Amino acid sequence: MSDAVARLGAGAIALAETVGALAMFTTRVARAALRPRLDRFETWRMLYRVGVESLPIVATTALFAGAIAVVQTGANVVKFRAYEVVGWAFGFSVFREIGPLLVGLMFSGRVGANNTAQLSTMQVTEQVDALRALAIDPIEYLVLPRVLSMVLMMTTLAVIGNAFALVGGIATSWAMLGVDPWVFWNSFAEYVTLTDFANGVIKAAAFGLAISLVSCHFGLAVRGGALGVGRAVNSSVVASAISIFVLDYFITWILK
Amino acid sequence: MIRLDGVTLVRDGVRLLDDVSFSVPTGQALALIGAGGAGKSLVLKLVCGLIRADSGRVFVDEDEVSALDEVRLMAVRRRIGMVFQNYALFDFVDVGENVAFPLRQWGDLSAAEISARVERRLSQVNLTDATRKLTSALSGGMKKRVCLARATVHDPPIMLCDDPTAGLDPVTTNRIFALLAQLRAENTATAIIVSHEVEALRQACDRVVLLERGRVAYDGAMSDAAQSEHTGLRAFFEAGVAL
Repeated sequence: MSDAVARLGAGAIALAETVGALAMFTTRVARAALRPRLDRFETWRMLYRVGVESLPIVATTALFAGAIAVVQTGANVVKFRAYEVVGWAFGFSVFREIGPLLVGLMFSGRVGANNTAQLSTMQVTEQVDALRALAIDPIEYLVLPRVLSMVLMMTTLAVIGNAFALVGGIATSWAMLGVDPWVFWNSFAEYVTLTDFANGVIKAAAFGLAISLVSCHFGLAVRGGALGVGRAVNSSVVASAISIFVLDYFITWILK
Repeated sequence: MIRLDGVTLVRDGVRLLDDVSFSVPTGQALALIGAGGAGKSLVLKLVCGLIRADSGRVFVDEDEVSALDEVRLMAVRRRIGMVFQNYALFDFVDVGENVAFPLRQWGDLSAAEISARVERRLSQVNLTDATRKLTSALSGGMKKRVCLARATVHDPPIMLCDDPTAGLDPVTTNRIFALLAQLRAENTATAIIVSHEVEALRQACDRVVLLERGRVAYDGAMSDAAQSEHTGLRAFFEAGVAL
């Protein structure tokens, strides 16, 4: 019993330490962002790596997310012969919730994990110390371009993902439910509002910010060699996923 | 001038540096020697402000490095060139960009001036042909030379060299020490050189400090060191000569 309490206490302390360190790191990034000196080359490099290289995986995820949303609602649509609301049901659930959430999780697994691995490798091979020794602030040079790229690209990818999800939804409802694409589109265009779309975009931007801060923090806070890099990537992916769900809950609650 | 006053560094309950004090007058070169784990690399990192001491003070010229925040440390670091033991080269850019890196980031020079400086430095370290190579394609000796070129491309008045010839063959070792001497002479730089190459250090340095388990065991002129009765120093020098 006392062992369990001790473990629980240790876990709580570790969680508080991580949250505290993350808050301090966020403050440092925010302070650096007030006087931004972005390296143009590094920023373009990150925008390409984070955005363009993620496009295929995000497009595939979104396409199937749209299809899944239709498959899930299909039985009830057929049962109630509610073909004229299938576009609205799809748009409401995918644009507001499923789209940004799935794209966020994919983005975290691909971009966030990669980012943590890269920064932690730079840390253990003393490249970050070399930057500091050369009078270059790692927050300005490494972190700011990453945060900017991830927020911008996560938002852009979510918008592009919406388009792919729409294609997936229309195709599936036509093939599976026999709903004419025009009926689907009319229902979608009539009932899905700009607010639904903006809701998803706001979530995507928030997820991008969270993934960038979490992945950069765990990358730069790494201790130890290869083992430390592995642990950092693992912690980063878990923390990013948790922060995505926590943010999703609060944003949904605020924008309801 | 570099000065350490009673510097103590404790990590996980272990005293890695214990009341370390010494100074290096402007223009002089100090050989920092000692067994592995004696705290030599830590001293260099303290001087550069990369780590903080638990007590004691570190000065670089008039600046108390140990009391400066990260923003004000930047100005001090621009006067320092640091050669890392494990190279610490940037793996996301090629050799030429590694050397140009600090100059490009600082933005004080035009692109043409930066190119000229990089070209000159790479030719001094005999790496002109490797300009477009990635650092992963280089041998250990080449990496050390790139590291030296990057650390000195801005002609720093202070040089910190952490084992600049570790793991290198004798010919490359001699070449690197000759290069260090040349670069120091060009800028009348103050230097701390950590190395186990006793003979090369004798040629290159004015003074020697021996660290033993984080404490200064010997501090004196290089010319006196060979005749010193200090057991640790004698052992170090005799082993070095025998090698």
